[in-house]
Amino acid sequence: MTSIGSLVWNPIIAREARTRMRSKRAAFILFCWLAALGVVTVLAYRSAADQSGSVAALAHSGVTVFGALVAVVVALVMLLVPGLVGGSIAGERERQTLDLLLCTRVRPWRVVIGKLAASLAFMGFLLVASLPILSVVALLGGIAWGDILIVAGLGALTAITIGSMSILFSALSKGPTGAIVCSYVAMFILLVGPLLLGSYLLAQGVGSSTGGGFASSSVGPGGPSLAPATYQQSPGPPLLMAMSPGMAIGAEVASIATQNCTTAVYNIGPGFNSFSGVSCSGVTIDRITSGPLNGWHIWQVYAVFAVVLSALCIGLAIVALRGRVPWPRRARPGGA
Amino acid sequence: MITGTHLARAFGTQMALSDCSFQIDTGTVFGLVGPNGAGKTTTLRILAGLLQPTSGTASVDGVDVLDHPQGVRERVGWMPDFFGVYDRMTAREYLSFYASCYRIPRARVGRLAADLMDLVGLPDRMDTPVEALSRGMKQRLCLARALIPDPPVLLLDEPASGLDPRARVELRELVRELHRMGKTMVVSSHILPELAEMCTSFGFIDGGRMVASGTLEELTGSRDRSTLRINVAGDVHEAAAALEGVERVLATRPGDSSIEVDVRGGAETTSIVLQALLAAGVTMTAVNPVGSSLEDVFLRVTGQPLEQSA
Repeated sequence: MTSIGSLVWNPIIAREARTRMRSKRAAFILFCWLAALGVVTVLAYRSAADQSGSVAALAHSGVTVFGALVAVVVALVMLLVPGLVGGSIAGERERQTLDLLLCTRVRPWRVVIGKLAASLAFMGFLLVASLPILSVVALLGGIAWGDILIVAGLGALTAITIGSMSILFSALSKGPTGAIVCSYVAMFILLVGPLLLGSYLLAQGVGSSTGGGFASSSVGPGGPSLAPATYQQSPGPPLLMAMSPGMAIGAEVASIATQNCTTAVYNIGPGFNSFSGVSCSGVTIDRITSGPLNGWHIWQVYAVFAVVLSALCIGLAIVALRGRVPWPRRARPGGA
Repeated sequence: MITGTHLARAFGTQMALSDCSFQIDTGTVFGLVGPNGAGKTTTLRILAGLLQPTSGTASVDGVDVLDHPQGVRERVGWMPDFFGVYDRMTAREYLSFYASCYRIPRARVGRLAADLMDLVGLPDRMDTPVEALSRGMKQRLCLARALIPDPPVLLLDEPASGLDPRARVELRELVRELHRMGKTMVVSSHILPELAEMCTSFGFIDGGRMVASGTLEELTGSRDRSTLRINVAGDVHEAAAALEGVERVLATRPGDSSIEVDVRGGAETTSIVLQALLAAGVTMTAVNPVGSSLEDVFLRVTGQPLEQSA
């Protein structure tokens, strides 16, 4: 086996993928996934079409559908990943196959990575299966591919982060039920914890100052304009809130919607810049404007946090699994 | 060779093993006997490289379990008492998966799986879903899995538990076949007659200590001295008189319809006694060794204080 082949060698991924796809549960999840996306796409598209009073508004329907699809996909990812990953290693322990696995030449880190990768691969499969539905956004237009990639990346990162937290609980728990419950609790804390804590700190006036905090871009009738920052505070609470995947993805989608309005104005020209009936005006928070991360997009802050959190959880899961079986004792000083 | 030296293992305040020492020669089938909670599974898990002893050391095939636990795991085929299988896989896929876990080249996996299934007597179950196999078949499949890396040592924890009589016989034959192949095996079991038939030496573990070990003859002392119970159809005193002065006969105790004869030596002495009785015209209906079965030894070594039974 080549060195690259040896590095990526992981029989667990193939076995997990094969046995998972043979289950009725996989077919059921696929059906529900596609049904949810299909229903939401139809509803969002009809809603956008019903409210359209102009070509500009019709051009905005792609953003509406995109926002709705992103919301559903992220919600489904958050709903599915803890259940898929949480029971993986704990299930092996309950089934009493973990020791048999650790007796082989498969090292604990490969077990952790293999289990996580197999579960996330299933999520990837669901996304690939839903490409025909997701392509509706591309057909409607109005969104740059770069923006779609950023949101898709954030969604993938969120799945990896929640999966990493779940694999940690799976490695620590004795049974899959406890691991899955802990995974859902951790996912919920990750989603709303930073938002609640940041909001609380803001309400308490923690670190209040002027000239810092979030930057907001304002778009309304008459065209886009960069408004002065609406929220002025030290970077602490905004940074905290940026650690929520809901905040990061929501801010990015809202930012895309704002850009889309701008594009529509310039494409259509004077006389058609009325946005009545389209919720295109408003304030979008998308940047940090003070502190060491001044100028960073919220999604960038979240991405760094998610990568660090994922690496930490995966590392701890490997340590927990290594503790399951003995490893060579350290050489004693001056002794054998 | 497998050795354990002053092995101890604590789980919290509970000592599962305490000063347990033993030596198992290469090529033997070693029966590990002991009551529930005696420390059998703990001993096997230490030897499998799956559990670290609190103190003491052990080695398997010359590899220290503390210094090279991964090396030990690769030299040992481990079959636990309770084990699960992966659902939605055929027996072929099950073995292929573990073969890939041992990094066996893909080109060899198919042939290896077929050979192992043939060895364990399941050649026609290759494409049967694992969850559809009976308990006995799963045991044999698990044994096939343990044999994938062709380990020199096999550790079988209660392999016959939950098996029906036919499956037990098949398992016993399989263990004998593996013995013929030169495998060193440690088999723990509560079913002592099964162990007596498949093992070449035994270790009795009680309270976390190895209280006795050796061959059956060594454990019963039957190599040096044994007792025969002979049922006779006629006068028992006449039969006892016929044995007076016979070589190796130490004492006779006439009963109602049988006599107990203490003899010096092992099984070969039985023929001398029987020839003497036949020569005297005594009619015999049954001949049985007394106190020389594995059950007798088990009761003796676990039913007495350790100091006396060790």
